[in-house]
Amino acid sequence: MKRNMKEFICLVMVVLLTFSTLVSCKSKETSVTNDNEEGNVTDNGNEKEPIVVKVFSCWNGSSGNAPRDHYDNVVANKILEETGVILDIEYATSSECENLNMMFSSGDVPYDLVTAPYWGGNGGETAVIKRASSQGMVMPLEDLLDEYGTNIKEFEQGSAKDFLENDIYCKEFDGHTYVIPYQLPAKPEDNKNWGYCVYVRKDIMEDLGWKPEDFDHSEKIYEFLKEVKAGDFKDANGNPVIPAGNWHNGWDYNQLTRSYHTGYMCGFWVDPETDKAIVDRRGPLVFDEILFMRKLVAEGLFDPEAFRQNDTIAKEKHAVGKYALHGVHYFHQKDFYKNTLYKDHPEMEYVPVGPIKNSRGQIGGNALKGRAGSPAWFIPADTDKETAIAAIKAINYLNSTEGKLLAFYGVEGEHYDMVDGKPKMRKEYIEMNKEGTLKTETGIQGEYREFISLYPYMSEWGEFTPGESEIPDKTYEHIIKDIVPDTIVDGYRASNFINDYDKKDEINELLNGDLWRDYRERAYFASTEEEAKKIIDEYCQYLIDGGILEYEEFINEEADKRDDNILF
Amino acid sequence: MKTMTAKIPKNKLEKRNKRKLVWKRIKKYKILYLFLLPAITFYFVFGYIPMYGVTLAFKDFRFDTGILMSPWVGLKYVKKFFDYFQFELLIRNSFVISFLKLIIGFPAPIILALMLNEVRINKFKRVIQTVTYLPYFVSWVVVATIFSKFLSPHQGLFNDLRMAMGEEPIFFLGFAKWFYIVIISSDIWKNIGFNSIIYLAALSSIDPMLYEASAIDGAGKWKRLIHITLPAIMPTVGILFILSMSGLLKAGYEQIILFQQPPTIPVSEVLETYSVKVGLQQGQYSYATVVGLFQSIVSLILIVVTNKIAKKVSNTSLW
Repeated sequence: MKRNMKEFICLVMVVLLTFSTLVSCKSKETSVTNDNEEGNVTDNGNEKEPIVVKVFSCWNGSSGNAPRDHYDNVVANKILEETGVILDIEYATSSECENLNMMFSSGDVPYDLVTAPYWGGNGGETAVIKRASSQGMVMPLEDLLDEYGTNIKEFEQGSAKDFLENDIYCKEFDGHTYVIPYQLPAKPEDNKNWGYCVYVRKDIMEDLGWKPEDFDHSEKIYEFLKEVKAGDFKDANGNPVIPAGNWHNGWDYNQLTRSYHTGYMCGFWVDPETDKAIVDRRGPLVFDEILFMRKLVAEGLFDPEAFRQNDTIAKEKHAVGKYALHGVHYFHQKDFYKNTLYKDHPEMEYVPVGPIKNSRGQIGGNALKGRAGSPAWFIPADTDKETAIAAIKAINYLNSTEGKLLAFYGVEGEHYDMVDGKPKMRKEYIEMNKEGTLKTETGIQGEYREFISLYPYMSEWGEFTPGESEIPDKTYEHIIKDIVPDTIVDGYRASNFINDYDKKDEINELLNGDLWRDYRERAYFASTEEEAKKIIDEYCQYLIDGGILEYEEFINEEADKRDDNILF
Repeated sequence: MKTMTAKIPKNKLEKRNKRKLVWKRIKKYKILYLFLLPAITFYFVFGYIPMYGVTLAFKDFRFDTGILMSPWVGLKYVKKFFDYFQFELLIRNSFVISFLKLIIGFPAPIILALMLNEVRINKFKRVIQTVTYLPYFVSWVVVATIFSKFLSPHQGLFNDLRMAMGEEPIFFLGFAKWFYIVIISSDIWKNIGFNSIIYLAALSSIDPMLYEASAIDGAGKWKRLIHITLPAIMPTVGILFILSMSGLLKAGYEQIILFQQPPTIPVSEVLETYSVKVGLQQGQYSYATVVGLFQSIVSLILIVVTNKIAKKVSNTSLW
């Protein structure tokens, strides 16, 4: 008997151990159901059970937009009241491309709705989403949009025509609509100019007797940096400044080399004599640009760590005014310095300088009419139909006039008032916004904005950043009028011809941006100019061996066939 | 019956009897043998079933059909990998970094273990062990950040020292020769303590009588090290060396990518970093699988060859 008991206990243990090995292989349905059950809100006054839509914000670091509680905040409560839907949002903390690849390759997407980058063309995230859509991993939305999403369909008004033709309604999609872009300008005046330019620490500039307008060529930047190096300038901690640098991962030292940019839109350089285009990486300006950056690195005028520094290290430097000069867009640095450097050292303010003309003598840049490339949302194919309908209803509500105001300003009479037909956020909420607590506490100006197709900032609301009535401010006005004014152009971008090229995939791989960046930045560290040239020649030979000449020929032939304005 | 047995050759009969004996033994201790089941299940589910993923190297991966049903493309991606213009560079870098790690990093924990073995003050020994052991639990991101800070040309500890001596600061992570030193030293710093544990365990199993006897015979510390300690731990060293040969092409993705800087890319781009870049970042799963498969095949060949050589030379082997 005793022996039998012992054997029985052993047998039970073995079964339990074996079962525990297999038990982790549970189905998605079970986990999702459990999540929904856990998350259900029953005490909301609605008789109907709310539908929880699991959303994945596939934007690295987007958790900064997250409200403290996705189930209970001003915007979420209103969406629930209007549509019976709760958007339960998760945020990516690593590369968007990796997340999308892993999500789709698992074959079982654990979300009902995903927001992700969709910059158009065939690179990066766009290529992954396009591939997944044409391979049946994304739900076709055209019928659902017709029935439940009429407001959402406004996105067509804000998209550039070739973006619609080649990306949103591209041939691979076989007439289906899979991806819905958002954050598009409602009208041309809503087209946000981010104010990308070179910024210089005002106290250093004044000390050296320079004026913002003196920086009219990249070479002037070089002269200035030499003077900075020779001077005894300190950061907020009393340590020596670095003449020039940038933010995380090299962002955005390209502003320093503007004099060597082609000024074209699609990565081509056009020979003024023959009017033929070649890939700009093979163009004559590339080498000028590389020699310029090499000079800065070799002479200790540019922080050599800055090309690959991470966000934390970059911010440590910027928080103490470590760089005398850097390139970035206006909104990024304004928000950051306000809460760090400027608190104790307002004299170390960074001011925009320029305008610096590009190689064709232009200030500012060309912007397409409508937006080409944008963030987008999609619904994975395995999402339950009812949940998909609920998601679209909620997003459609957010795209109504009331929904847009809710996401950006809150509830009328409580968070904002209508003054002369324009929303004006109440002072206490403007203060909350300045302190950075508005989106966390109320959800206003948080993640919910990410589902809105058209942003009518200026055309309807009269301010670029709702609730921050001081923006556009004088500095921003100066930047977008005098330093980097956008010229709105309409036309068909030559890069779209690749869609008809038979070796499209090979060319996309060949033109991989990471490899080009590696080569270019290697050349900045070359010990001599000859060595730098050798590095770039090696890369160009790789392009030629890969068939870039035939591709360029094809692009030129296609451009000749069309009568409309071809944008290179 | 006798006639039948006589017809069966002797060796076959022996085999049959051996088999019977094994089955008899299994039957007798069936409950104990049953305890193998969870382990077998574990390895089958998580070790062997995923191996079908290797077929991805010969297929065009589709999201909708998964690995099993994706269409076969033969050696398309193998050819693409061998034709890649940086193929030789990737192989060379992988070998150089792994080889340096092996020849410098492999003896380091042995030396540490031997040194610790000689320490007679237990408290001191424990402190040293803990101090060397802790970095193993620090992630590479943190290690890379610490090293970058120390080596920074701006207010980095080493450059501050150089500048105090009137020298120009150096961007240590921006030179190939320094890159190798940083990679090897950070690898040793992180893993030396953890890797020395197994040698300390081997050292503790040496019979103290041997040391006592040799001391009586007049052997000094050095002689005891050469003639007792080292031969005693040699089988462990041999086994771990054979195992480490399997990783000769694994230069350490995480560490390298975190230390990579533009000027060191020609020496730091290895098979693993390339595989992650084309696989996870660019979504070319089939191609990335070929890179990984190539690495595994080379590792398998290396481990088999090393095992064979070790067996012949020192009678130490894995199988």
